[in-house]
Amino acid sequence: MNKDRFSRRALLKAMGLGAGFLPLLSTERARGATATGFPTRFISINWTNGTVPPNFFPAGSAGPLPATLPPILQPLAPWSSKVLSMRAAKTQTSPIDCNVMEDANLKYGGHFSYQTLLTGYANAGGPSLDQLIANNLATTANVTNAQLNVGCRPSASSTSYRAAGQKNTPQIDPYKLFTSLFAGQTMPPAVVNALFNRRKSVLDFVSGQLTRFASNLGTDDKITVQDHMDSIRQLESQLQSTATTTSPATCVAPSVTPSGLNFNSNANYPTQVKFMADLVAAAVICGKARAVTMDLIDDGGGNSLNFPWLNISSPDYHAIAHQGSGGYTQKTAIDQWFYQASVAEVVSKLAAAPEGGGSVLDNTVILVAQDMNEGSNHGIFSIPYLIIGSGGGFFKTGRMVTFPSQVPNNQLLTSIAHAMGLKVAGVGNPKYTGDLDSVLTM
Amino acid sequence: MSGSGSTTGAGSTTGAGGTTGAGGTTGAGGAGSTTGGSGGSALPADPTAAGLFPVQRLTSREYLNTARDLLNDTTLGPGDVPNEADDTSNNAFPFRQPTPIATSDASNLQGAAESLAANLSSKVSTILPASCASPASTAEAGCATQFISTFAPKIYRRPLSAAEVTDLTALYQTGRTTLALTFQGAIDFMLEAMLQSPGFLYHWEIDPGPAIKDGSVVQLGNYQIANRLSYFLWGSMPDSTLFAAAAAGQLTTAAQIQVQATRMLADPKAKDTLADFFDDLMDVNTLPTRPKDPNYYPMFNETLAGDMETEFRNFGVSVVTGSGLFSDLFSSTQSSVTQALSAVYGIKGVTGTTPQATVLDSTQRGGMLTLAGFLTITGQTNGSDPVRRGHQVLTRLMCGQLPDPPATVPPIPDPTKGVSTRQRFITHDQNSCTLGCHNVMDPIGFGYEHYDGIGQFRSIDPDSNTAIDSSGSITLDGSADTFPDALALNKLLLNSPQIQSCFATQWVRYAANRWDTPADAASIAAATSAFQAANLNIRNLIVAVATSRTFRYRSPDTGEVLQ
Repeated sequence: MNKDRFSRRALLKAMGLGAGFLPLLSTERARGATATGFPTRFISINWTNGTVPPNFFPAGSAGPLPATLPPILQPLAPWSSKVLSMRAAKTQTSPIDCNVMEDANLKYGGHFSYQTLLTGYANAGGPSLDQLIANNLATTANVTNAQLNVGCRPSASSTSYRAAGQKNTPQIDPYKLFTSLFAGQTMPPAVVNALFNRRKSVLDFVSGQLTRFASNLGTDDKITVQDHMDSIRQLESQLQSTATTTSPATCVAPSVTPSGLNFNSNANYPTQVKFMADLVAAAVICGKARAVTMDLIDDGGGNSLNFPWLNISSPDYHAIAHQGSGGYTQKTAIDQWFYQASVAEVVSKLAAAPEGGGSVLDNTVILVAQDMNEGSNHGIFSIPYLIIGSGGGFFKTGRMVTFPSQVPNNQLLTSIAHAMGLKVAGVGNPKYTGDLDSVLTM
Repeated sequence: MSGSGSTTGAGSTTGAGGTTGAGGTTGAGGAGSTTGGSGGSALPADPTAAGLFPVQRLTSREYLNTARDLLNDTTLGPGDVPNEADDTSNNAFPFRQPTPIATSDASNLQGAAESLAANLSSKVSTILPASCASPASTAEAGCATQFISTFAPKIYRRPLSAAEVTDLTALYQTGRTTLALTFQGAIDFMLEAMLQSPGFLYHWEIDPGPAIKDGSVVQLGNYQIANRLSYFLWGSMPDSTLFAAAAAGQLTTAAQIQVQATRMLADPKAKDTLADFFDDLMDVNTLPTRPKDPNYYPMFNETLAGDMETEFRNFGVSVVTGSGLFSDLFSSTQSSVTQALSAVYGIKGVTGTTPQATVLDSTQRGGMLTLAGFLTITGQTNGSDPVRRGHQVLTRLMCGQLPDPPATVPPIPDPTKGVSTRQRFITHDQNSCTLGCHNVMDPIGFGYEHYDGIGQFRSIDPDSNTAIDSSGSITLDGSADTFPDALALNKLLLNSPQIQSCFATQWVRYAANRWDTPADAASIAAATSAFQAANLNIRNLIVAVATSRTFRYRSPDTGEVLQ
């Protein structure tokens, strides 16, 4: 991230100069800044196997959130004024169609839809929203290390794609993530400089070798090598930013102890989720990431994941989700735990980091979603999306809205893109342009 | 089920092991083993065809093995290098696929290379002459050149091009002068860079000189064959014998390759590959991430899961390196168990955590499908699972394909007192939208009803308190058969040409680490024939795969510029 992360406007404001002295900078949101000049951030937290609709969607249709949130959302109670609940008109009794989660084939409905959550394409036919935001920051604000993709299972699932079918592999090792984000903070500057110069020389060399290597390869192989080159460039950008970023005072490296845990073990899963949530929050607060995805779990069936720490040891997660109302008690407890362990963990940290007159949370949009309505119907309607944080005042939170008709998830992604300063008419499949700004911002 | 497309080898002649390669010509039906969803081709397989050879990076296993053999360094673990996941795009090609290098992967590779390079300092005398351990300033350049000319080809596993030598020489200068490293530091620095370069990371060990075309395909060069053999059979870089054979141009004919493949298969390093194949084939490698309900299986823990995986791996290795017979995969009761695992089998007297040679009860067990590892990964958290077990046999051993599940899948009822597992699943299967799949999978999986969720033998269903009914049915080679239990099912499997052909197909996929295509069909048919002609000896099958047309030749990628 470059040094002008906090704009002159924001600094002046923080120094106490009234807004009246400041010219309106229409370009600020386009550069990924809020109206007050602080950077906007996007965090997406996702897991599979749907939700329990009656325990997730607030009763009623539109208006302020109820004093008592639905059971699954109760971990967010302290921040309910920052929550925006959305519900599409269509219900389970309506015929399934592809209006909400555009999907070329519905044979498998809500499992394949996981890759549609942030791309707005069936079969991940284009880049995901985090990638678009990162690309925009790179071109408009010279912020080249905005993206961070983390996962909590040793699996191939990811919501993040840099292009059609090209998945951004999430980092699943919290220790490695800690090292890449924060190790430099404890090194003397001379050591950091020497390491920087050495790594830069190596990466330049590798980049040159890759270019020559790719020159004679066929089309498909070139794509493979191009991916590698993109990663090397990204690594160079991160290196550069590590050497130049000045962290704000609120930046504190999180604890990832004990060390040496085996994250293949289900028993360590809660610790892994906590480490990752804390690392994501710290990365955002410290200015080391502004477009983040966090993929919590992958269970399209057959993985036998269970939750012994919730006293849910069988059946496995996928089977519970399949049971419909018979599994509601267990699935509600699981989803509530996901909200507590990941979403509320991140939210609490961001809310505790002051920024301007509010907190980092106020300048962030956290989007939480599962891949389907509920496991017993595999339905790709009424997807349980939830927003926390207004993105610097863009979204009007503390309430629930009901869309007048079934809307494609593309329009929600487009509105978030607008909150992040992207001037786009649509995100994902161009068949589904338009946005939800008029519903979500006022 | 569709697309099993079994190849019986009827009418096929094979040259596997002969002097001119494995260009088997296949007779009627010989092309049928392409299960890639197309259900097989009606056209006869083209014996001159060969499949693609896509650029793939070293897998985590290959990276770590290569670091061991190149640098005598075993300090890194699987978490230190990019990992790969099973190919989930279908259900029948289970082998782990290296993904493109993402930023987090590149970061891991950077860390791994820095760590390996830092460890080199103490070993430089093993790769350079003693005079280069601490050379005079006037001798430094000569020592650096020596490193580039002698050790760099080992890192890249092939001769270097002139441009690469120039680049490395410049890199050394950058390290020694711009970065002001010591001579030793500059050598480490070169290693660090080379370990992150495509020459080390990718399987693309092209020989110097022009490509050797043969019709529409290209013959792999000597270094490419050396590497392909080595990574197939050892999961690591070539040894000095292979490098010498490549340098002498002695990896050109099928006979030359057969000699090397036979030698390599007898080497202890091959055991890890054999174990890896069976581990991947049946998904037993996923054991560490499969929890069980402690209320049902209080003895199940990570140690026991590890013991099960070790047993399964060792079983496959001992069959192939012992009798070599395919039939033993489905009938042998020779195994090795730890004390913890002996309890699952009800064996008394085994102590300790080191596996002890054991003979399993032949009235209950026989072959890999009755081992605890397989039965555990295909079991539920709280019981058996006929669907998963049938599915695994169908997709991995029969090379069968299933239609996609319907959009609305009803749940399988939870265990209920008074209702057996079999009854619960039958009820589920009567639902019209699940019938299409389950009437194929479940009758196979019912054969394993004598084994609970962690593979313990049982005679009584714990929920219904009635005698276990493990009878089932299976359609092999186009005809339906019934069986009373898993041991009888074993006999059907081992005698089925469809299962034999599928096994050969899985070895071809494993060797190429990709899905098979119609261009591989003749090679698969030839390998199957060689396998059957050799009394179903798996070692002969593996050598036949290594000498097959599709292993020795490749189709160029679209847009590729052949050198």
